[in-house]
Amino acid sequence: MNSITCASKTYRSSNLQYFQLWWSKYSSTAAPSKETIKIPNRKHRGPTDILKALETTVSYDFTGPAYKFFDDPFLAPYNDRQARMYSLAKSAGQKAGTWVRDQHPELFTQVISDPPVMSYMPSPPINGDNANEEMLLQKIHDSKVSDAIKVYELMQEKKMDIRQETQLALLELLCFYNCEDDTPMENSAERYYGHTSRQGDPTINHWKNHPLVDSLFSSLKSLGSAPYCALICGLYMYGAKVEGDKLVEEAKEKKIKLDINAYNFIIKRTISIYDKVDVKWQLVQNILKEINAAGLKPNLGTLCYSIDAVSRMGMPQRYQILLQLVAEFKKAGVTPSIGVYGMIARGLVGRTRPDANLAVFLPSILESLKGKELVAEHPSDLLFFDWILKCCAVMEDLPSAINGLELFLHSRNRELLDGYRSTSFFNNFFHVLSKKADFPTLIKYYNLLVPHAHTPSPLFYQVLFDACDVHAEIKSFPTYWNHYMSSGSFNEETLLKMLEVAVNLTGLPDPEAIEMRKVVSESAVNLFLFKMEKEKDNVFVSIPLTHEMCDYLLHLFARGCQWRTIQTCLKFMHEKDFIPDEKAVSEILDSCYDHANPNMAVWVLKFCNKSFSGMESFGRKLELREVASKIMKADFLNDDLKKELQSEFEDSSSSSDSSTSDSESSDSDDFSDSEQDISVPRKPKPDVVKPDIKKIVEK
Amino acid sequence: MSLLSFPKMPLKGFKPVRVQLVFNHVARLASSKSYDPKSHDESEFRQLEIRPVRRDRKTSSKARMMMPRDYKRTNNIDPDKADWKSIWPGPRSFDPNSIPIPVRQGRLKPYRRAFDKYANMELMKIPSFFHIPPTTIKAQCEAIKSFCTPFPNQLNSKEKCEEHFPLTVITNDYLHSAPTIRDPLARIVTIKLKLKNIPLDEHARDKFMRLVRDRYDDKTDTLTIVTDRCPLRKQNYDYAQYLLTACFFESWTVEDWESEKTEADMEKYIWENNISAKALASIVKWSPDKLGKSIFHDTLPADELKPEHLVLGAAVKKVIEGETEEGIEEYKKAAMEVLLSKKAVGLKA
Repeated sequence: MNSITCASKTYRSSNLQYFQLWWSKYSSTAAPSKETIKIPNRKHRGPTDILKALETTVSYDFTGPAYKFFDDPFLAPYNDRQARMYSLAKSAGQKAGTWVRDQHPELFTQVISDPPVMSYMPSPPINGDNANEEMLLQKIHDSKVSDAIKVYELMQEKKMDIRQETQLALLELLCFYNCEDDTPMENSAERYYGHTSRQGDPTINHWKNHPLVDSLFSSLKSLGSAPYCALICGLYMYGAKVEGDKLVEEAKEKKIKLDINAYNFIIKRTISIYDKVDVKWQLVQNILKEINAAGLKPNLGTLCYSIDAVSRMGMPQRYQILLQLVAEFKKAGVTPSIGVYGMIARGLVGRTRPDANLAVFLPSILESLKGKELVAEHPSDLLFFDWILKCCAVMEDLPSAINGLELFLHSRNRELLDGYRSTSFFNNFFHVLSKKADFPTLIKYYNLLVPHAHTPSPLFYQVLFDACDVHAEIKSFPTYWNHYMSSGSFNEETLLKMLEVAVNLTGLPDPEAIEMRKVVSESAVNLFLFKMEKEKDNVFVSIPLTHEMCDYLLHLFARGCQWRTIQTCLKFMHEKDFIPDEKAVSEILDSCYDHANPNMAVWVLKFCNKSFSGMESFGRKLELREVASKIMKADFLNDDLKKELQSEFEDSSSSSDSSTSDSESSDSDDFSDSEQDISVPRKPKPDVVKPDIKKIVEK
Repeated sequence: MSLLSFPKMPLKGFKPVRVQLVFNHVARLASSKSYDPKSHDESEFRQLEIRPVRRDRKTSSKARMMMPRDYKRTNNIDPDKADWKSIWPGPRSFDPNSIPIPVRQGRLKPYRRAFDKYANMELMKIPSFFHIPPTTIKAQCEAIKSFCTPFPNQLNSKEKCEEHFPLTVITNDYLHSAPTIRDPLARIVTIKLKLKNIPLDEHARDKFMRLVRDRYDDKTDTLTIVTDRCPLRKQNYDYAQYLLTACFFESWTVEDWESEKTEADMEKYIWENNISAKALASIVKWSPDKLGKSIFHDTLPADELKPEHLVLGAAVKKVIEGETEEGIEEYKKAAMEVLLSKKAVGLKA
């Protein structure tokens, strides 16, 4: 359904003045006695300026899933992996639609958009008849690489004349995109979650030696500087160092003047030279001097690549050199972008030990950028937040990390990170948080960001559960349990820690803790049944239930009166040869006593006595008997149950020396199928007087 | 046959044949998985199950609930502190998961409350204004303030606005969530005008009324012209301006044949033109020397008309337009005032 909004416009006009004037000719009474009214001029605004202004009132909402997902608890993603999967699946559907449109353009004859949106329409098929220079220029403009190559080849076949400017534009396109198509602009999910850098690792050669590039270059050599610059940029961008070096030498021999972009990539080339630091630094200096001598004006790329090269060198005096470089470029009229600061910070952290100056540099940079809307000017700007938070994580600097997060969340700054980098950003933030923050701060930022902005790692959850245990955070513990369960990445230690903390918290003598028992026990039942289901299906369970976990689960089940699950759990433990903890069994018996369920108590005693007799010492058995005798003394059991229990323990004591196979067979008779339902405490049915229907009908 | 006597089970005698069921069974026999040696001994003859019973598929629904889906967004929203305009930025249908207040909607049955907000179709049907609470409106107004210019100081009252800018132009803009930005309804232009703002004399006004017909509302004294016959808004606006101008000047022109209008063509009673005014004139101007001559004179000139004469005229008009007892009484009183009051008698004497 289309939503329609109708805006009514009403305005007053003074066009009637000419009636008045006309009237004044005839009548002396109706002469207009007007004071002049000055109406201010209309302020200029673009067609979308008001929408943009309204958008500023809306900030990012962390209480629900991002706008691209369904805002529904059953359809929204709850962890990073799900979010990635959902949005990529959605974009796959769009891609399928685009594919159908491109394969069968004859089906899409109607133009429903007005003004027409060209990107929604199928592009006309490329064949020998319609290939011309105009089409080639359009393809180059739209950066459709494979289409442009196809058009060019068709034109070559027909031996059409192509202007040299067009050929140069094609060469530049091929060099920039390495002769392959980029992810289209409209496929935002793939761009967000895909590879962050098209260029990849600069030390590896990604250059695709397309024959068209060579032929174009050789035909354009006569033009001089431009084709050389384009090819040098392309070769160095995709790591073809040897070929690039050859070309640079050739240009120097022929005394061809290179432009500033080519020099930028020559500076970038120095990163992958294996030589001493001093030599490399000298080389960078020489290139910069060369640029100066050639009378070229440095741009932001020059600054970024030189800072990148120097920050990787790891000299002891790097801080001074980096600052000097920035200052000199500022004099030359190049203002540093945020990526430059990020690279300086990365250079100061180093590989082994962070520079002492980082402790000054990091807070001061974040302070100066506070509350600013950042704009990406260079590809390295997209890595700023990631690097800054990495530095914070190394330094374990909480105030800077919080400042960084606030800067990231301010206005549209979060668009500067893609999916992969933002995960790394938040991971670093939570690392600092778990190391340095006090409990209220930890909870504050956790509640803000989880689960919709980020899914923390199991290690963070371990810290969180520990903190909950220490600070007796009973109220929100079930929420954290749910968050951890839906985070999708488990860890045995964390799971064990969670169960341990759950047992500790539910055991507290607090009315809140007693209220929480039911909720936690239900979550525990879910967890247990899920694991059982996995084992039944013979699916490989990466983290199976261990003995310790089962003991903790028994505690939780007992506190939440999950009688049936206790039975299942004990049977499961019997299968796995786990012997239940003594405390857990006594907890169950206590719970049976508290909730008046004698049948369950007798069942548990009998089951434990029979099932775990073979592998248990004699002392344990005596303990069980002691418990049984204690229970029998109280008024808890009725006579039948007492007799049953007595006979059970007498039997087992008499047959304790006999073989275990006996007990197992009898066990299978008794417990294989619990036909009698003892999950509900048995209560005598009250005598209800049946209503007399006749009387009611008469009424 | 009434509806009530319609048989409840019209196909009672027939048994439905389910081909699918047979196919299922064949599939069961064919697949090796379904054959379980534990349950069927080799000596035992396998039974043909006409209606296969599902034994093995005992999956509890709880086991599938590993991913806890039930934590609600409303738990995270504090109604007092929440930034509501970010949670609900645009118009959309009701979502129980995002609205942190208990809402109920539905038919009220005796001793029962209306249904709550979860899975409530009634709430989803109705349009809501959750996207424009007062706080949001305030914030949005603040945001677009920079595009506004100050309102002229002189126009401090509604009357002044009307005086200086008597013409009102109304157009509509439509915004669709559709590929096209056009809407045919956007071309319509309405102009409104109070007739007191344009100079019209009695004749012109009369003619104007005849030209505009029902486009004039005499309760509010407003003329409304709606133009929609041209394809563009600009053209419609120009056309509306043209219509107004043409009507105005046309109403001021006096054609030759208009002098031929007789009393019978009049659409309303005008006392000054009628026999009653002439009779009054003849009575007022009566003198003994006119005895035996015609009593009908021309009407009194405007400067000789006294207030009591005008009162009489109004009373006559009232009686002629609709005769009521009060009207007659008024007429009598006015006539007495003119003819028999002390003043009138004294003057005569």
